[in-house]
Amino acid sequence: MTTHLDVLENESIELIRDVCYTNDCSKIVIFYSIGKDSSVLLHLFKKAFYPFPIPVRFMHIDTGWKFREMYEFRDRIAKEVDLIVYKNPACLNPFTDGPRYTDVMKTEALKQAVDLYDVKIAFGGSRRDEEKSRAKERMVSVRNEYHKWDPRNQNPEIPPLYNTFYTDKTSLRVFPLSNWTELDIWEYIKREQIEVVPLYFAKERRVQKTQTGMYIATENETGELLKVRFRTLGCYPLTGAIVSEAETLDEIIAELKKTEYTERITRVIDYDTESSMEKKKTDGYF
Amino acid sequence: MKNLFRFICCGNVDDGKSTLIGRLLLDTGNVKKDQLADALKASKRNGSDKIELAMLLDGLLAEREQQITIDVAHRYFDYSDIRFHILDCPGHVQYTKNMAIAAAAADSGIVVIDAVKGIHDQTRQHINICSLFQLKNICVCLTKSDLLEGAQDKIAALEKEVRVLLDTYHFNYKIIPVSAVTGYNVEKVLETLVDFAHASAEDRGAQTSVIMHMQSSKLYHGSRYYYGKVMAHEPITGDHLAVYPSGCYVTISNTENLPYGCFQIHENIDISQGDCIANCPIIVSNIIKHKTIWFDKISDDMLLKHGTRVVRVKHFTDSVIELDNDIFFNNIEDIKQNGFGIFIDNVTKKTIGCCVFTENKNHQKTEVSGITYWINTSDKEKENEQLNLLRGKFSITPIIFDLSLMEKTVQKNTRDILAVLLAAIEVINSQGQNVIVIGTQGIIPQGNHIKVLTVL
Ligand SMILES: Nc1nc2c(ncn2[C@@H]2O[C@H](COP(=O)(O)OP(=O)(O)OP(=O)(O)O)[C@@H](O)[C@H]2O)c(=O)[nH]1
Ligand SMILES: [Mg+2]
Repeated sequence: MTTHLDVLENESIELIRDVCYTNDCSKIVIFYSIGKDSSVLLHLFKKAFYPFPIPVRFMHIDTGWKFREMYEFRDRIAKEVDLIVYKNPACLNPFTDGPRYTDVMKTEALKQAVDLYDVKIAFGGSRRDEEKSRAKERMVSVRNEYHKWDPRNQNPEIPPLYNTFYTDKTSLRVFPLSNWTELDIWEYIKREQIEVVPLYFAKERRVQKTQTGMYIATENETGELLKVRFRTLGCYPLTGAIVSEAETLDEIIAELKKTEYTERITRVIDYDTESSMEKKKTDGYF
Repeated sequence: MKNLFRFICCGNVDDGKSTLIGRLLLDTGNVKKDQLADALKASKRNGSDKIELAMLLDGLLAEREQQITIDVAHRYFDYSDIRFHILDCPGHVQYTKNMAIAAAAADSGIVVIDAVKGIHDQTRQHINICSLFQLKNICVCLTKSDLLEGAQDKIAALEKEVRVLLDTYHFNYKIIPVSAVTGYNVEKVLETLVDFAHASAEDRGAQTSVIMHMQSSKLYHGSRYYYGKVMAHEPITGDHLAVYPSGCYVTISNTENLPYGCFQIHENIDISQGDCIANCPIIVSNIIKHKTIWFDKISDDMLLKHGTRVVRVKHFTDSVIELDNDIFFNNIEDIKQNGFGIFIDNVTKKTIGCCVFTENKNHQKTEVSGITYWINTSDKEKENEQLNLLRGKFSITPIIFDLSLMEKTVQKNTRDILAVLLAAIEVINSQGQNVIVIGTQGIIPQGNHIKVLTVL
């Protein structure tokens, strides 16, 4: 019997192939964030083109402030795929530079990398269930020449007839995981035995409490030792840990089925104002 | 093990679509605390002291400011053995295009009608679009019934009016008075959706068409791999399929351990990008009867995308399009997934319309001359079931075929029958005869183009 995971997998694979086979692959990159969604995306790309290698490059927008385990994981993946790492030379600091940090090190960095490598199509692992404005976005989403998203005037989209064309003035963001939920991602990771960064599994880790009451990772000896895991991964000073006992995939899945909050609450970047994600996206954030 | 089921929620502006879906999500425990807090904050800013449930769906800044849905919201939740994918549509005329694209993607629909205001032109327009995209099951929610407390006759009158309207279509429908504010009858809506989901899973199960549009074919260590877009079923090893436009047949030699939409074949034949393979009749034409919904201004320089072909539009009228190359399609009423295309403006590359193929004749007609009969079962009921399947597939009078025509072992399953059927056509074509097949003794059609040769 075909399950919802099969349908989701099939739709994603078809979209991936559709975009890559109808465009010049040298203009395409896959934004690789090292997180669970990126791991699934990488897996789907491998599947889509099997037995051939993935025909497009991966790109990691680094900030210099990711978790150590993420860098280790990324460097292993880099042996398998063609990976570009780009870091904004401005090198801001999330502790001292405030909101400007995300703008410069993520949004600006992304625009710089896209221009530098002449990227016209960028795949990403975002899902519609992550956030309310994402819930409205197309799977093939058009950006203008300034990399901006216009949520009020999106290109009509009728899957599986994706419009994979761009012009001199536009570029595309493609989200094959649009219709997946966080739970689907984990059930699929389990089914396909996909490797993810160990930070997702609960373990005693040293953390410190921020002003907003969130736990963030610290290497400082004064930090509290708590059994925590991360539901999302990003820059460690901006990523909240959750107190958890989930050490295995089954336990993570069980925990998710009971959780009362979305994964969004663990990301400092989105949580400051009501529609900060939409604003960031209209400014060119992925 | 969950089935995926997609439904839209449509209807006129402000009739209460987003609020009803918000209620559905809330009552099934699918709203998280932070989402609820966020919606409450937005409601308060708009001057309401209670939560406006629509804020759970209307996630764009502009939507929240204007308190109107602009674009489709996608939401997912599990209930019973089903994964629901809801597409909450905007009702405003200006955003009808966003409703249409949601309808094209959905299996079934909720049509929301404000019980106080009744049926509006825009309600009719949305119902038309549902019908155009072949949505089979419609759940009509007469909402805000809390405002009509005690006026049962008013609801009954509206219900009658809705029946009269919907009876002019081919929907399977249900009408339920509800209130998103009090939660009245929301459970009934949910039960109805579960029924719809099961019905549409059954429909899908009964479907046996294999149709693929080719994306690519590549050689790897001496063997060729074919990749395509699956419009109906995926082929399986042993399937015997016709290739368009070449007209030859291929037999699938391998699909095991290959990704979705990837296969290998026995023959050494090139199937290129843009080609189509199928086990059922496909219409091959560049002149096509259609109905089009426009999202934007029509352009002089347009492309039509269908399957994996992108062709230039040479000539356009409201009823017929002429393309500069053939496409391989079905009428939407026969096989929905293969029954529409999109218009793309060749300059701006925007999607400017959706074109539904309808009432086209298959000109590649195979005249029926020789008829034989075979059904490999002693079970009458099963036999009829199989025949109905075959008939649905070919939308022609029953055809019958004879095992002795080919040296093939045939099993009871329908897929094999279809394979044999195609093989039969090929065999008889190669003998210079035209054939189409199917039927049982009891229902052999009469007509001068049909002759019964053998009845086993
Ligand atoms: N009394 C009452 N009011 C309702 C009910 N459902 C919705 N409303 C109100 O009707 C208004 C419109 O509701 P929405 O859910 O935003 O309507 P909509 O159909 O989604 O509107 P668009 O998406 O913009 O077309 C809001 O003020 C709701 O509070 C109901 O069952 N009872
Ligand atoms: Mg609405």
